Amino acid sequence: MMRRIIFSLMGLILTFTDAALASREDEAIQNVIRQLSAVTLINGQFEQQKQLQGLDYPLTSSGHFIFWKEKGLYLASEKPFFNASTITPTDIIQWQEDGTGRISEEQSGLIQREISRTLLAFFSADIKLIEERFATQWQFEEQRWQLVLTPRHDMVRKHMHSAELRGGQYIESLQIIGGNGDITQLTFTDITSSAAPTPEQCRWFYLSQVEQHCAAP
Amino acid sequence: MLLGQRLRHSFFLILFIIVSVLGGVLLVQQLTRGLVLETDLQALFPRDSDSHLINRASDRLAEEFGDQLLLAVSADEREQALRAADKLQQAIVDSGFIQVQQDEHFQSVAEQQSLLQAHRFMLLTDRQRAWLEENNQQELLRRAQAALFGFSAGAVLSPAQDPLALFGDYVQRLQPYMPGEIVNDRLVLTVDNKVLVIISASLLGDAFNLSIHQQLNPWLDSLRSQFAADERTAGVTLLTSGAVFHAAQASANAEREVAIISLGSTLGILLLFLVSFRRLKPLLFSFVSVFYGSAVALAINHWMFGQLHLMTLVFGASLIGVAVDYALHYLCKQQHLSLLPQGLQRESVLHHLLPALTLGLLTSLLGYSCLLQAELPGLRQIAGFSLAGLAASWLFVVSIFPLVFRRALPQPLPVVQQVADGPWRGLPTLGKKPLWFIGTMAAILVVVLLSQLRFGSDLRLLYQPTPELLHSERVLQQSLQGFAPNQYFLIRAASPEALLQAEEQFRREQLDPLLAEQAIRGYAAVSQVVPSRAQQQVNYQLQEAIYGEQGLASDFMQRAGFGIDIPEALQQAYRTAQEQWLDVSTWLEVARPDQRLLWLGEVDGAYASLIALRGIGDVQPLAAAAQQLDGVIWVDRVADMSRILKQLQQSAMVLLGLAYLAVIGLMWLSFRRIQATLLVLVPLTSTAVVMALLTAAGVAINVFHVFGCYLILGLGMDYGIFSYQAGANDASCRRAILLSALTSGLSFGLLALSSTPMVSAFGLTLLLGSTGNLLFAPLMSYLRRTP
Repeated sequence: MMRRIIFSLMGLILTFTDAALASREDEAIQNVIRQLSAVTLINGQFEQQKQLQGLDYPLTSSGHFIFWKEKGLYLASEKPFFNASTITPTDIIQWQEDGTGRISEEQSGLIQREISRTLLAFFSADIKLIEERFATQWQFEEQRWQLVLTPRHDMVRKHMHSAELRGGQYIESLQIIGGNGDITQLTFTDITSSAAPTPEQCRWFYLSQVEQHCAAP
Repeated sequence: MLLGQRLRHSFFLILFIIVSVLGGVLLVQQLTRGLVLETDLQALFPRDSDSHLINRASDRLAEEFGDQLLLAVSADEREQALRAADKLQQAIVDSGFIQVQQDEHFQSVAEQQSLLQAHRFMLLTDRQRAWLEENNQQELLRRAQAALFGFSAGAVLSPAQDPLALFGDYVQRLQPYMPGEIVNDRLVLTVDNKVLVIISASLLGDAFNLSIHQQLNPWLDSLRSQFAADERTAGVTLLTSGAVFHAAQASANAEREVAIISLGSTLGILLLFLVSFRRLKPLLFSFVSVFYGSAVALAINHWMFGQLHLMTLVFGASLIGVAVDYALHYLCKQQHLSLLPQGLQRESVLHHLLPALTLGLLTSLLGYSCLLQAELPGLRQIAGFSLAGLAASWLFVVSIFPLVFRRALPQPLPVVQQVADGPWRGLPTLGKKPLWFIGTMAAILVVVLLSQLRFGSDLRLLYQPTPELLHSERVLQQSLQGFAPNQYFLIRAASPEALLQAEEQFRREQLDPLLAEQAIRGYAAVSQVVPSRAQQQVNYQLQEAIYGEQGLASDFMQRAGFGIDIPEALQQAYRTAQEQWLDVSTWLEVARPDQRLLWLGEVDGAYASLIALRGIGDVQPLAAAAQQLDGVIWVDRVADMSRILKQLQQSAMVLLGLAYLAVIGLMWLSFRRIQATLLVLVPLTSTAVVMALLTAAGVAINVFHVFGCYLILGLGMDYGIFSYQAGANDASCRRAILLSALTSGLSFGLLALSSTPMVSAFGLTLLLGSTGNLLFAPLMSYLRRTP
C-alpha cells in the first residue's frame, strides 16, 4: 500500500518537474525566437569550411555577409576567390567582381528554392516554416542555444541530410550535412545589427531599379 | 378486298412478333451483360482521319491526363488553407474513388539522376556547350568557384566528382516545373493574395464512369459544407481541375435534362390525350407504341455500337414527340369512323390510313438516313436510334392498334376541333389579294434575312462548363503553368537517332528563338534529357578540354587544394566513359509518366515524338515554325475540332439538299403528279422561316441547327402528306396534325431549354419548325383541288 502511494507521489513529482522543465524550455525557445525575429538586418564576417567526401582537409573560404529580413542573404567570399551571391526567397543572384549580377537560371528549380527558403527561415527564426519542414531538437546552455534539424520531406533529405544552428543573441553558426555527405560549416563573427540597410548594403538585393529601392533615407 | 386487308394485317402481326422476339432477345442479352452508357463528349467527334499519328498522340495524352485530377483549397490565410487541406486530404482517403498521387515524381527524379550520372560525360546543357565551344574558361571557372567555395547546399555530386558543377546544372532542369513551395508533401502557392494548397490525385476508375459521377458531386458538396461548418475553414474555396469534373457535370446535366424533357412531354401529352380522346386506353397504347419503339431502338443500337451515348438518349427522348404521330393519326381516324353509320369494321382505319402512314414513315426514314452519312459517330447513333425507333413504333401501331381498338371512340372536346381548324379556316377568310400581299411581303422579308445568314462553328457548342468550373480550371492551370494538352508539336523521322537530331535542330532553329521572344514560356522534349548520339559525341569531345590530360579540371582542383589523386581519378572516369551512350529506351524505364509520353516510339514504320509546350501566347508563329522543318507537325486540337465542325456543317447542308431531292423523287413515285412534289414546300418554307427568325435574333447557324432541319423535313412531309391525301374536309386529319404538332413542339420546346448549346440549338430549330409546319400544311390541301 505504502509503496503504491510512494510510487504515485513520485509519479506526480516527476510529472511536475517534467512540466516545469518543458515550460522552461518553451520559454527559452520563445526567447530565442523573439531575439532572432526582432532583427531586421545584420551584417558581419563569415568563414566557411567545406568538408568534402574523399578529401581529408577542409576547404576554407571567408568574406562578409548581410542578412536582410524578408529580402535575403548576401554572401561574398573574398578568399581564396571572389565569389558573391544573394539568396532571395525566389532566386539566386550571382555577382561578378565588377558589381554586375544575373539570376542564376541553373539554380531556380523547386529543390533549390526550397533550400533557399529554408535557409532564410533559419536567420529570421521563422519557426512555423521551420517546423513545417523539419523535426526540431533544441538544447540550451545559459544564454547559448543549439537547434538540430532533420528534414521531414524525403526530397529535401536527398539534398540536405541535416542542419545544425548555434547562437546567442544572433545566429552564430550553421552546419549543413548534404545528401552527398559533404559538410558545410558557416561561422559568423563581428555581427552588427541595424534597423535598415545603407544604400551600399541595399544594392545587393536588387537587380533592377536599384536607385528607387535603395535611395538614402 | 377484305381478305387482302386481313392478309396484310397478318403479315404485320408476324413481322411484329419477329421484331419483338429478336428485340427482346437482344435487349435481355445486353441487359445481362450490362448497359454501357458513354458520356464522353469527345466520342461525338470523328477520329482525325488524316493522321493516325495525331490520334495516337492524343490517345496517349488522354490516357495520361484522363484519370488525373487536381484538388485545391484557396483561402486568405495560410493557416486556414493548410487546415482545409488536411480536411481535403482526409476526405480523399475516405472517398474510396480518388487517391492522392504518390510522390513517384520525386522517386523518378532520383532514379533518373543515377542513370544520367553514369552517362554524365555525354551530357551538357546548351549554355555549357556554348562556353566550351567558345573556350570561355572564365565562365567555366567562375561557375566552378561558385560551386566549390560558394554556399551550395543541395548539390547532387560532390565537387570532387564534378568540380565544374556541370552535372548539377544538367539535372536541375529535370525537376518538374513547379512554382511555389512544398509543405507536408503538398504544393503551396500564393496567387493574387490567395493562398492555394494543391493536392494532385488520381481517379480509381475511368473518368467517364457514371457511378463515379454519381458519387463525385455529393462528395464535393459534403466537403464544401464541412469547410463551411468549421469556423476555422469557413470562407475557404474548393477548386477542381480534371476531365472527370467536366464529365460529371455533363452527365448530371444530361440526366437532369432527360428527366425534365421526359416529364414535361409526358405531362403535356397526358393532358392533350385526355382532352382529345377522353379515355385512358388511347393514351396507354400510344405510350406503349413509343415505349416499344424506344426499347427496340435501344436493343439494336446497343448491340450495334456496343454502347450508347448519353446524347443519343437525350435526343432519343425527343423521339417520343414524333413516334406518337402514328398513334395519333390512327386514333383520330378511329374517332372519325366512329361517327359513320356502318360502324367500325376491323381493318377500315388501317385501310384508310396505311398509305399516308407508310409514306410518312418512309419520308422520315429517308430524311434521317441522310443523317447517317454524318461523320459524327454520336449523330450516326442518334440517326440509327431514331430510324429503328420510328419504324418499330409504326409497326406497333399498324399491327397492334387494329386488335385493341375495335369499338367506337368518344369524340373530342369541341375546343380541340376549333383549335385544329384554326390554321385551315384562317387562310381562306383572308381572301386572295391580301393573302398574296402578305405572302409576298413575308417572302421578301425572309429572303432579306436569309441573305444576312451567318454560320458559326464554335467548339463551345458541344459543351459549356459552368462559370465556377471554368474559373477553378483557369486558376489552377494558370498557377501551375502546366503543359498544354491540346497544342503541341509532333516530330517524325526514320530512326530514333534521326528523330532526336530533328528535335535538336527544331529546338535550336525554331523553339529557342520563340522562347526568347516569349511566344512560349517553356517546352519539354526528349532530346533535352537524352541528346542524339551525334550530340553526345560532340559533348564528350568538348569535355576533353576539362577532363583530359592538361584539362581545366586538374588545374583548377590543384589550385583549390585537392590532392593529385582526385583529378587523376576523374580523368580515368572520363576515359572509361567513352562511347557509353545514353539511349532513349534505357531512359524511358526511369522517366516520369509525363516525360514518357513525349516519346511515341514506332508509329506506321517511322519514329515519332512530341514536344509539349507551356504558356502558349499566339499560336500563329508556332504553326509557322512547324512549316520550317520537314517532319514537324503543329497540332492544335481545338482549332482542328472547330474545323471539323465547320466541315460537318457544310456536308450536312449538302446532304440536306440531297434529302430534299430524294423526298421529291419519292413523292413523284408515290403520286405520279407534279403537284405532289410541291409537298416539300411545307418543310422547305418552315426551314426558310426558321433560319430567317434565327438570323433576325442574331444567332449564327451551326451544324446542330442544320441537323434540326432534317427533322423539320420529316415532320413537315408527314403533315403535308396527310393534308394532301385527306384534303381540307377531313376534320380528323386536322386534329391529328394539330395534336402531332403540339406534342412535337412540347418535346422539342423543352430541348431548347437545355444548357448544352448544341441540344438547345437543335430543340429551338424544331420548336420553330414544327410551328411552321403546322401553319403551312393546310396550304397543301389546296393542291388536291386544282386538277
